[in-house]
Amino acid sequence: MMSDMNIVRPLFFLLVIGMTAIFSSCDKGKGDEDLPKKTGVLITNEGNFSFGNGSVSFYDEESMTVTNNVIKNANDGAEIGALVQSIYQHDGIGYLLCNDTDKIEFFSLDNYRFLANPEDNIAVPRYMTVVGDKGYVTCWGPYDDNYGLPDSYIAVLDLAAKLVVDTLDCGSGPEGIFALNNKLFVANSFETTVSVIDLSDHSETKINFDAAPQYLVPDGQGNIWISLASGWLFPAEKSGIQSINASTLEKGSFVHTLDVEGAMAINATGEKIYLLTAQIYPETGTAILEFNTSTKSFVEEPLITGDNFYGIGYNVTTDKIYVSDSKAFSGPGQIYVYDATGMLLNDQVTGIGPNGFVFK
Amino acid sequence: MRFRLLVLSLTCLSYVTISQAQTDTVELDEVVIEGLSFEKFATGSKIRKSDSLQLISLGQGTLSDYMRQNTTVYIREQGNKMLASVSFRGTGASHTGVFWHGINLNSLSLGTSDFNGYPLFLFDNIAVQYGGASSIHGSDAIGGSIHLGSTPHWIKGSKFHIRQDVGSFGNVFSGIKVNIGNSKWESKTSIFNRILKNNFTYGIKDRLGDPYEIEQENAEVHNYGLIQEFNRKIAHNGYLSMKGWYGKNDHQIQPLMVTSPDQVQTGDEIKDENLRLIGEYEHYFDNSILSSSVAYVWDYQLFNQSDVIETKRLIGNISDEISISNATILRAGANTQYIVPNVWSYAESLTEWRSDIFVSIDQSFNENWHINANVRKTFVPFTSSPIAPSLSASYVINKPLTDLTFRARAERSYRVPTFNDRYWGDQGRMDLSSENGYSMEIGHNIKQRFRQSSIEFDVSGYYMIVDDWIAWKPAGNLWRPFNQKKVEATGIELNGNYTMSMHEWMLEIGGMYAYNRSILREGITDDDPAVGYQLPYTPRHRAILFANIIYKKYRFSINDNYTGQRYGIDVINEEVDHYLLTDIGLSKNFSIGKHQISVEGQLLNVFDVEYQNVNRYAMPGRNYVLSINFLINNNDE
Repeated sequence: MMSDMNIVRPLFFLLVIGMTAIFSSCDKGKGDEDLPKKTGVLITNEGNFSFGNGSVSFYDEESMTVTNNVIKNANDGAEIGALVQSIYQHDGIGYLLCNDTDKIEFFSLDNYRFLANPEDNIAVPRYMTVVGDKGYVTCWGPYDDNYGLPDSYIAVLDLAAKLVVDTLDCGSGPEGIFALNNKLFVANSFETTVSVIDLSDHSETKINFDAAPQYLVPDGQGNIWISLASGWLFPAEKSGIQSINASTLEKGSFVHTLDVEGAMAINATGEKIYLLTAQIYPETGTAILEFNTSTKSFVEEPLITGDNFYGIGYNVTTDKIYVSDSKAFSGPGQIYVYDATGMLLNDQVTGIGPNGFVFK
Repeated sequence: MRFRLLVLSLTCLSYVTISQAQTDTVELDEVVIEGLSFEKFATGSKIRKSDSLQLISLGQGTLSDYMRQNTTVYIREQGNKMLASVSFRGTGASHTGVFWHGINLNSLSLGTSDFNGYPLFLFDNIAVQYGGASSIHGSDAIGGSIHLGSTPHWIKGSKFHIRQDVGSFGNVFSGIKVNIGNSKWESKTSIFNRILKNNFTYGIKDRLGDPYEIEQENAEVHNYGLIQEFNRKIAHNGYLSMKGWYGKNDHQIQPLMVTSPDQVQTGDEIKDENLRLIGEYEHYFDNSILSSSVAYVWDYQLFNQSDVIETKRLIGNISDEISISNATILRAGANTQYIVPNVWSYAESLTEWRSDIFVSIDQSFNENWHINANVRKTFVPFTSSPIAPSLSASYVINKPLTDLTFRARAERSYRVPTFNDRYWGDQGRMDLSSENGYSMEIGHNIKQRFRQSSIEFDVSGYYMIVDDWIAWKPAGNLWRPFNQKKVEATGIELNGNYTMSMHEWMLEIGGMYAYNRSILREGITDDDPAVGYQLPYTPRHRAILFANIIYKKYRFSINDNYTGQRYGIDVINEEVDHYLLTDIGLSKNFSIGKHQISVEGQLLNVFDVEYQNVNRYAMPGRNYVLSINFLINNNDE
């Protein structure tokens, strides 16, 4: 019996050790990546649903190159592990709004290290703004059985305590948020309203539109411009752009254009808004239209056209237009950098589903 | 946009058998390997069939376990015993046909199968056919096809098999099989219940780098099912079989690994329910076999108690196999299905007729040379699908001590777009065409027998193009499907094993290796950066080494299972680490008269390797399964 066992043991060893040796020999070590510079462009890569592969890339305008996974690289491989909806930057801190894991990741804009990740009272966070020492985060809240969003709200974040300390009412599916004149303007994308919340008494006024408000940009003249999409729940007949006076809350006229996706950016002078639109099916392309806030009209010919444009940004310091292409979330995405005339300067590969830009 | 995606995504072998030889001193169950009706028309294909011992050893597992343990086919599992999809020869999850007695089990809405939804206990045999075979089986068989089934054993009297397993993480499996017959008719019943709590622990580091142990939540699995089968010989030349398969698979959806110790886990769940009924009749004439069947299939999936995906199918199939001469066999047939779906986003009145016609011929020129030609065509409303031909040849030499086979095959295969692709709200497109596969393969098999041992070696090489691969992308303000992508796959597969018996010992060692180069040639846009890269979650390398040592009634086995590095969906920036898992098992058989008891203990992931199959989905460390099988009246065949 003893001799029998002696046959078995070396065989076991041979198999296990042999296989292990063959297959574990090629672990690649990743060198320390250089930390991105102080100024540059942060790109939020949304990631795939249920894969937790959202990430942040950094574009250096000088070297014209992208560094991907900057957060992961700076945190010893620790990942965001979520869908990343947006980044808000304030006072040296970046706020990553993670919409499937219901959390906000705080990270240092100096070294990209994680600082905190509050989760309480945060459900499907989308976008954020800051007034004083408080952050205001649009939260969709949970879906109901018909994929409606009956319990949306604004989470009030105490930036020092890094906790949600209060919630404010708003409409359904709050998306873009912007503060002006001590008022919060909130685009309720699952209905056709913008909520105006007075921060002195938290009173809410709803202003109605003819399509679904998506995002908000200020033009520096006291107006807030709102992108209006047809919305998927109640397809409105028209989409376009419309302004609202931040003091009087008076609406400008609704300027229509084809299939507005929502994403937009405004230039340094507040004169030009770049708006992401889709061609009408069976055409499959996307386009960036230029809108003039003085003449209140679109330039008819698209400034830029492309395949799956998903996000847009404007660097007011260097006057460059940034456009991201999601590649339908099927793999790595791409960004394109243009000058203000729409001339392509560069394209770079990013993470999955690049959806927005932050210029730091 | 995010939301639209969410809705979409919700709706969106060991050939080597343990010794077939029986020796005087090594007492084993008889190993049974069943024949397949289509096999004679597929001589150019690599086909690997399960044996009964493999199925007993893995009896509490699923098709996913079987594929992982016994083939180099890659199974992508989104968490332990969660949704498991297949990548066969570098193709996608919807490019493998899974068939039960000829019925394609892939979801008509989603186009794929959950390999953890097919419990091994219910089947007598599993055959894996490598490579495209649409010319024989129809839609979906592009990368490969898998055939689950049973065969009548025409026992006299009764035979029982009772199985009980317990394992780590609240794993309890119970199964009973009852076979009763009188050699003219037979009743076969298989019924099982399985509960898995799946509350294994895994390690994470929090944001400060401090390590934590997390207990997995929301990953419970409860499935049960039964197959009832009545077989009847009619006169001396007829065979009637009625089979019914009911299965229920409730599973929570294992969440992403948490990123902080106190993160709350949310609870999604899926309930799958299926009923498959088939009546088959075969009539043997002097020179032909007439086969016919009628089937009803009900597939029901409920997501989070709210979203239903349901289809009902009525299927009729008829074929005739004629021996024209000693050298020529011809088979021709037709198949038609009437499909009634129930999915909220489809038009309410939607129904579909889908029909196939097919012809096969097997021509032998002498005892060595065989040529097969097959052609099949599916007719689907509004959608073009090709006439799919295949041609294969084999050259076989059988000598007393040596068997040699050379084989070659060329094939055009296809996949009909899913119901979601064609009928989803305003987004589905009825004008989509079928996906097309073009493949070539060559293979060689050699088996050499010695006095007390034998050695076998098999090599296959293939080249395949999958074109018109359907992908959804934004078009207008909605996502829509397009015949968009093109993939080129090249690969080589090696199998080898050595079997030796000596006195009361028997030893089998073997290995398998597959190299898969599967490259995206045309992507979602002209400048898609993923073009030129390996497809996501498609390992270049898969390998298995195993050994079985049998001493009298003891059997010791070890299985080393390697999955190479894969890319995440971001094929440029995300790598998913390779892993090597080692499993060992020890079993003993006891015979008591006509009865047998076998007791087995398995230790899985012996070295407690931390690994992820899909990135950010935790998998269990070292764990065990204890099994006991009672085979009553086992010899009464």
